[in-house]
Amino acid sequence: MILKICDLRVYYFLRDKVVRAIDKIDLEVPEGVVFGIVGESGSGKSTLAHAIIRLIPPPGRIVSGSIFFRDLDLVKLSEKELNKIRGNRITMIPQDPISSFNPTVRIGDQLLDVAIHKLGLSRREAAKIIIEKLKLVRMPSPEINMRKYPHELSGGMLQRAAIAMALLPDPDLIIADEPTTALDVTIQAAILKLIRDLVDDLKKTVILITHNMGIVAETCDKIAVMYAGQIVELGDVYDMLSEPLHPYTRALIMAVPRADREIERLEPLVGEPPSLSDIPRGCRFHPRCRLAKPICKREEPPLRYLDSKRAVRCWLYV
Amino acid sequence: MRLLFYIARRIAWLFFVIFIVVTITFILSHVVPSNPALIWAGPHATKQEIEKAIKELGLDKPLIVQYLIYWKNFLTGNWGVSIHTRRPVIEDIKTYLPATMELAFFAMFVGTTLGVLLGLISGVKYNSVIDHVCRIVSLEFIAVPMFWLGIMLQLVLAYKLHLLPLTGRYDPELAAATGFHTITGFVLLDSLLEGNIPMFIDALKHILLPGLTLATGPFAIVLRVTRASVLEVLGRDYVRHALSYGLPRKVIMFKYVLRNALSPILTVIGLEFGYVLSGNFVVEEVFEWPGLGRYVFESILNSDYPAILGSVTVIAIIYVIVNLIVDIVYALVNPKVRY
Repeated sequence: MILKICDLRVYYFLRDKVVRAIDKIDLEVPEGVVFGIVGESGSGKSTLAHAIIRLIPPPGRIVSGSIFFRDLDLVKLSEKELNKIRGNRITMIPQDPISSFNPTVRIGDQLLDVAIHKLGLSRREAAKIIIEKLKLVRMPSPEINMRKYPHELSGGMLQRAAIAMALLPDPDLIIADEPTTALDVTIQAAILKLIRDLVDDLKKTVILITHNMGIVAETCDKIAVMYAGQIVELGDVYDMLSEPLHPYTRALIMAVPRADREIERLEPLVGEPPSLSDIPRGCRFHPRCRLAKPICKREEPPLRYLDSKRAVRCWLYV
Repeated sequence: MRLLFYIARRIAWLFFVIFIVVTITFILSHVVPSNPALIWAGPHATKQEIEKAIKELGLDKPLIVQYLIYWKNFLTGNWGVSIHTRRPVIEDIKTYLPATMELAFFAMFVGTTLGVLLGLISGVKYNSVIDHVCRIVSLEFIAVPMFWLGIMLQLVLAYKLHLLPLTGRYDPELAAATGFHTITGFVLLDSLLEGNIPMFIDALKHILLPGLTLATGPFAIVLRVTRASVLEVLGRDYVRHALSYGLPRKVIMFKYVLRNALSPILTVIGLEFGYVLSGNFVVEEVFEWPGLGRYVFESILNSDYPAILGSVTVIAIIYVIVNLIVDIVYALVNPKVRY
């Protein structure tokens, strides 16, 4: 296991209420896979990504739990120790590459910042490695594009540069937070292929956060489905897609249009996810669930492992 | 290349603004109610003498000819003779301008450096004690009139505690003793270049009180603008991305936060320079600083219109040049501006 999260809770303490963005999350990420975290907006998936590198903006706070990266508990590390992990052993691929690069500094110089300050390389060595990585992510004419400012490059090129940046320190874990959401559909596939290659060719581990079931099917090995700040189901991607267990996962899959099957109508999921400051009693999904039983309204189901790989948080499987 | 085009465009614009300034001063000189010929000729002048003055000043020629003559005189440095000093205006300006510029640059340097640094700290440490202190102090500085602050500083630091000199620009006895002789008119610069350290320290002591009085305005405004701008930039994705890479704090604060927060700060620095130039009029009077402000003040009291117009033109041109420099720095900092 490269990452082991136990009983993680991240709450935002607002003036008159507490938003429980992440509540009692347990998760294990094995090495050398693309691990997908799927959920609607507001399900807490991005908060989870930022919690791993402990960049929760105030008034948010990690309330309890542990995040073991190999044998280090990231929750207990000091800021100084943490900065040896961030940008060295764990790197990020941002959601919107256009807004994630400093608009006043050349792309190459921003990559240099990481190479010089994080890896302690000389300018010349750093430049060499940067060109190497830019070629690896198939950036066209890297020597020229390095000298450009962010607004002079397309979103797809910037995302390639961001992936090159994520690869610079030769990290163990790469967290990609909705890396294709801001890109054109035509570029999405290329970027996803690139992320897939990180695992297949470079043996990296990637946590891929997305709301898109299509991306999951194409790119991930394992997935965890999040709902209202909790994991409701996790398992290998093939099992999950061919035989979804949790009613929420089923609803998500039913809502994806398919080209290979005759479906008369897409089945929409009614209602909205609950507000994280006002979470329903019992199972968090029960107000939208067609199969809800009386117990679902009273008690919260535990995340139950059906076998070594598959777990689901639902009273139907207890 | 783009940057050069941008600078060329800004310089063309500068000439246009100077053209407008000169034209406006010409118009002003003809709409002022007092009759320049009367003042020129003196209080007991006869009719003949007044007519002679009108001829000498070219006031009998058609307006358009006067305008062209005005331009010719402006370009050849023939800016007329001051009525109260009876010296060519351009010579007077050469004498008094360096003192004013020295004071203005000193005030701008101190005010903006401290303002930007404290504004950055204030923004980063949002809602902390230091943030509150900075906000209250800057508010005080904006609210307090400059002449009052100047007098209070004189009263406490110079008159009561004898820490700093009360007035003036340097100690003439010390200047004579060390054989100090100014070349550029900038005492701080010259004494430093000559390696005349006692003189430099003396000049620094003299400039401290008027300089700090004048610096309060730009300090307060720059601090507030920096704080607001930094707060906005801190929420941007690229700052968060830099934080996620654990880059050193200094790099994030200066290269990622301050650099992007700089555009509005530069704009107010340019505007504040105008504020400092006009603030000079008050501060120079309070501290008996031998600069252009006092010269203009005297000129206004004497309805000395060649002196007033000459000084106003020079101050306007300096203001425009400073803003040109601000625009160029703006483009250097922000590559998007160059288009």
